[in-house]
Amino acid sequence: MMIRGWFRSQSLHRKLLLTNLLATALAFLLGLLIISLGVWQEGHQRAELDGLTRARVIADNSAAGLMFQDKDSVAATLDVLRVDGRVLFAAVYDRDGKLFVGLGASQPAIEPPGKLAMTAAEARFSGGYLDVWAPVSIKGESSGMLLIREDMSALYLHIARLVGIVLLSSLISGGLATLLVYRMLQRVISPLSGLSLLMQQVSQKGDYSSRAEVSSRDEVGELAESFNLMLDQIERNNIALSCELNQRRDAEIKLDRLAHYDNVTQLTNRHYFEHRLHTLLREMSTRGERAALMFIDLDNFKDVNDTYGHHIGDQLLRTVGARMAQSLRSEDEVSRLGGDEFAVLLTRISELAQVEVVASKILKLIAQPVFIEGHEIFVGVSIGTVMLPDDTIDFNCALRYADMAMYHAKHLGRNNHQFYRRELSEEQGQRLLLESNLRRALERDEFEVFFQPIHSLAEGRALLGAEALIRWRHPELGLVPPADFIPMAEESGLIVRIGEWVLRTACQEAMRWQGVGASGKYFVAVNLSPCQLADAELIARVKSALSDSGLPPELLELELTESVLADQSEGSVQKLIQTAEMGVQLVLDDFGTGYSSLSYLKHFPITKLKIDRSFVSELPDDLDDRSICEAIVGLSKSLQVTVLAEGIETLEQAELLQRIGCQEAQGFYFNRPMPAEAFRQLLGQDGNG
Amino acid sequence: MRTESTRWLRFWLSGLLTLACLGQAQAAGEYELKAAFLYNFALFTEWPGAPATMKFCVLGHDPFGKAISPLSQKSVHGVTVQVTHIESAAEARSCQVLFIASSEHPNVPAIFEQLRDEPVLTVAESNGFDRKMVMIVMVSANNRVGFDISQSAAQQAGLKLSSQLLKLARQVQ
Repeated sequence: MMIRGWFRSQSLHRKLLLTNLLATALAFLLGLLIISLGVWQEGHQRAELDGLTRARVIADNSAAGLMFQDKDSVAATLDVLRVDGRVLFAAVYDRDGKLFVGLGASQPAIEPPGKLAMTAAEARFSGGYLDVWAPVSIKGESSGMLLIREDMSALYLHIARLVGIVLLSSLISGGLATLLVYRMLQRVISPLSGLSLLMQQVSQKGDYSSRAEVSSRDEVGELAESFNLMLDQIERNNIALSCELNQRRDAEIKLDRLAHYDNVTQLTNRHYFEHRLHTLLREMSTRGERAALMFIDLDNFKDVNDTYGHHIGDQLLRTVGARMAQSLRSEDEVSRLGGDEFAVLLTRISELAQVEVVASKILKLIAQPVFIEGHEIFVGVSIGTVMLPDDTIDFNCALRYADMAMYHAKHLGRNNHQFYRRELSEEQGQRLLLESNLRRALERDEFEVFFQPIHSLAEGRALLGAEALIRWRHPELGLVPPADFIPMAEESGLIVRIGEWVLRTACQEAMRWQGVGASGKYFVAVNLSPCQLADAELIARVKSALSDSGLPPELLELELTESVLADQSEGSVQKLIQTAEMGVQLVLDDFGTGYSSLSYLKHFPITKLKIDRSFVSELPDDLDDRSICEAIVGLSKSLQVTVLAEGIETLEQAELLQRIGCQEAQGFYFNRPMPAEAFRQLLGQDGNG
Repeated sequence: MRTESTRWLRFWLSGLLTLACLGQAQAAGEYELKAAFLYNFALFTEWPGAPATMKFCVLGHDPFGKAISPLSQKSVHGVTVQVTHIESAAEARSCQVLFIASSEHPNVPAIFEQLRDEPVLTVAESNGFDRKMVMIVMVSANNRVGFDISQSAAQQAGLKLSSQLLKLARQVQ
């Protein structure tokens, strides 16, 4: 197994050479063996035949001598054998087996036992000798024996010499054959090795342009040709592949451009910007550079779009973008993040003053009017800047902080620039937490509607209805007063959804009151926030709330604040008129705290005024408040609307207000806001009472 | 004188004989060897035609004694040997081998004459006659037995003696 393993690990060249050598050696050895055996056998046969013939002649010739006891004669006869050096010993024995005449150097102690009766000659090989026994006889009368001992070493020497010569010649011819085979094999193997080497080079370097040399027309040549064909094919495929790759790369570049540029302003887009910011932040940690990220938001862009259309809006964006780019140094970049939002990345900033310079430049340039298709358009921008890495090196934080700074700028009256400060983060953070809590509250039904009864101030203080007030039953904080979350809800726009929920819940609850109690007809008052009024779907929502609950429209009162009415846009007025036409009552809340002129009262179909609690709380002692209350009552009389006072806490206040002509009232003196269940019980008592 | 001398001769002869007997006893092998030789001579001789018998005849005083009797158990050219003693040369004509004892040596010429053309192999020992008249003469010398051959006598008788025999002869005439 070891040998097989060793053989397998050898090169083809060596294998073939070895096989050849082995075969040659085997053939030679076999031949040598056969020849030696042949020579041996033939030598023996010839020696035997020669010995027998000679023995017979000698025996015949010495017969007479033996018979006549003539030793000299016999000796003379035997002496002939001296000529042959191979004869070691010759002897004639008489009939009794006694030596008659012996010839030769060595006298072998040979007894011819039982040979006297022999009639024919015999030859026997033993110990390198050939012993030939022949009867000495005449006319069939045996008179003795002849022995001729011949040395066979000559034959053996001859054979040995032959073997030597054959071995030598086979060694020489074997060597020559091996040399020949070696050369032949080299010729056969070297193209194969060349091919193997080439394949290795091709696979290592990936150079498919190399070709094998076709040096012969045999199988190796064919292999080389096939190999070249294969390389051709691979090379062609490679070229095709690289062409395709190039095309794909071009396409990718185009796509990349599409992906990274904004097609309105031709500035880079949000995708590019984010990538750029990521890279910048990553490199910042190693380079120790400073940079500034600005978020820029156009003020009132929505109005421009609404007023002049998208076409002009887009042109405005283009102009603004160009102006921003104009304000920057060559290494800075401006991207349009979408809508009216832009971002600017200022790199290699050494001090804040540089950022200030850029920001004021932008503010100044953009503040100049833009002329588009004959319109002179004024826009401003709010800029929030976050310093990198001073404020943060986190991507998401950087975006958020810049956003915070920008909103801060907007809050501070627009068209200005603000750096991010840590405090912003805290305020914003609380706000964000509240906002997310609000969203969750809506999903988890954490809101409740409480009802504060509204009574008539006329004799009997009859129950007329209730104001629906939202309460937030927070799982950890307990009941959260509306003042703590309504502003946030308004800011985030959540108020629209919350408001609708309150409206629907209030309507459904109010429907359950009908037909119960003393009058059997009670109204419900629901607060309407400015956001809700701005909502295009307001009318639809109100209608839906009414129809779904079945509450008659005249039993629904919508309370508006003075600030709602301050926005005397056509849309708002229209919505309120439509609502009033449906039969819904409109109530002006917090009356007296606003600062707008009273003229708007004429524009809106208001049916009730609500005197703000601040004028009630100091009654009856504060004469000023009393005068205001009297004035409001007077005004309502002339406008022919109902007057309601809220925040009544004492009997005196109630009696005073009754005295000056106020018709309705609500407050702790009568009832605190209560859960729907409690209000239903109150209604039940009202019926009984 | 003659008688006396004969007496003396006899005495001496008897003494000699005694001696001879002693010598014979001493060299008992000599006549055995000579008997064997006699047989061997026959082996190396060819008779004209194929003789039907192989008679070994001893003429005169037999010196062999018992030494010759073993020959009768042998055969020459496939014919059994018969050993007989004869008294006269005339009887010798039917013999194939004739041994002329020393007692008959004086008669050798007559015997030769009588058997001139007869195929009878004549053998004698010792000397005292014309060598040409006896085909083979055995001679004892130096403790060895040699022989002389008269080729002419043999040829005259039509006998063919083997060349080997001739080679071994001390003398060939």
